[in-house]
Amino acid sequence: MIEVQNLAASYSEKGTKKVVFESLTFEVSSGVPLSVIGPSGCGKTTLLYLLSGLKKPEKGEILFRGERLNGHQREIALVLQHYGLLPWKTVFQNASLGLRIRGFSKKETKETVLPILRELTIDHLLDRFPNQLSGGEKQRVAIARALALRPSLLLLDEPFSSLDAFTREHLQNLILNICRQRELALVHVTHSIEEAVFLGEKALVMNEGGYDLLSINGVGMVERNSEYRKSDLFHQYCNLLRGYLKR
Amino acid sequence: MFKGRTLLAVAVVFGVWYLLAYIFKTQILPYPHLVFSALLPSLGKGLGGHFMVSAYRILLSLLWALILAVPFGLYLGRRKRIDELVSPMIYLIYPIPKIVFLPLILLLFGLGDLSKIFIIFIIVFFQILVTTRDAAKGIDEEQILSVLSLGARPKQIFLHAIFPACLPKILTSLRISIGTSIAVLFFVESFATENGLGFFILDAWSTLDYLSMYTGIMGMGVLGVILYEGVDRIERKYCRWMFNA
Repeated sequence: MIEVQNLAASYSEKGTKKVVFESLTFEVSSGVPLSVIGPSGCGKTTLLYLLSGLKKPEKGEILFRGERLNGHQREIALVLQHYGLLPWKTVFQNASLGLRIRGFSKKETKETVLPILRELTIDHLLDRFPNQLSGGEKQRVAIARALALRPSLLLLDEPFSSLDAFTREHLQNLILNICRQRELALVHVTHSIEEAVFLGEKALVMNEGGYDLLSINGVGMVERNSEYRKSDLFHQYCNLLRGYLKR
Repeated sequence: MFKGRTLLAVAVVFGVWYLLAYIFKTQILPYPHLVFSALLPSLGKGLGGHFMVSAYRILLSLLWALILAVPFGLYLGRRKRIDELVSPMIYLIYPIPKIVFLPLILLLFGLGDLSKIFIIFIIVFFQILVTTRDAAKGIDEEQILSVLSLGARPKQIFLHAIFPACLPKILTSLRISIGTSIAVLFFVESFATENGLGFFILDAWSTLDYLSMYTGIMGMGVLGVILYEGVDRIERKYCRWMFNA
């Protein structure tokens, strides 16, 4: 679905060019979620912004369905690290913002958004503002907003980092179910090794100056449940990632 | 409109006024009830008309300041390079008391309403401009990214993210401007005019009619309360999210 070829990113600090990453090549397809993991500053979020079209690659290219990605792409939805909810909009207004921006009528927007909010069990919070929601509820609204756009590629930037363990695991299961049911391709940036292993079938381990692409597809998406978290295979993959991160 | 806390504030103001009138026992500081009893005669002397003229001058000045300063402030706040260019000019002009330009303004706009409105406008314009610019500078960039990632165009980014994010601070600057504009109003209505609350107060003072003078001062207070209440209502309606935490 999306192919990344020789991608590079850098930034300028006091007139000196600093390379974030270079020659990054990988591909993501639906049914094979990719976890991106690495230390702070290795360019995980930059990579996500490039994949979403928010930034333009300075070198290399990104192909979406075989065509060069150039700016915003309607089929790609991004959930930002701090949810990106607008404090002055209610849950319903936040969830339907993408559709309103794309010119959908109020009726169409309602018909699309309400079932998603129901599915994510936040339909009782329609008129609440983000400052009245828990972290988990905010995350669901952000996911609802992304899903309302009917994307085929979902990009998540450390989506569960500020949530408690219970809510985090619950939302991880929810994301997997959603991706499975809707046949979404998923790219997910995280700091957590366990999360990377649980959600990803492939892992892109980014380190200073290089990267490794690993297969961690021990079980299918259906079997990824609380039992999987306790399994030896899960811990083996965690140790594998840990080893690559320490390089 | 008047809730418990408002009534308490009114009671405190009048309580202090009564106390001071009792302590000084002078004609120039009459008891509040005497001022109230002079309200009807003052209305007969045209207080209502003077009130409306002052309200018109203030509203027009504030409206023009908002219309021009808010878009300009938002633009500067989101355009770093242009802001770096324009800011030194703002900082040069902002601290100068605009009243010093009075002769020039009178020469350009004449002795009528326009010069009075312009001088109030030019003073509050900078207050609103600087606050709005700073509000636009301080917007959480994730909010902009969030709207951008949904495919928003510049107009939609402004409508959904930039303006609503800055609105509370714009309203704060408007509150500050109301206070300033009423203070300036008194000054601009003290020359070359025969209407407005400033004129009414000075006219009563010059004839030693202190009760009428205080009704004029109360008129200014009422004007302020109406304007502040208006801003509060706008805030409660359009910044509802701030009151729901």
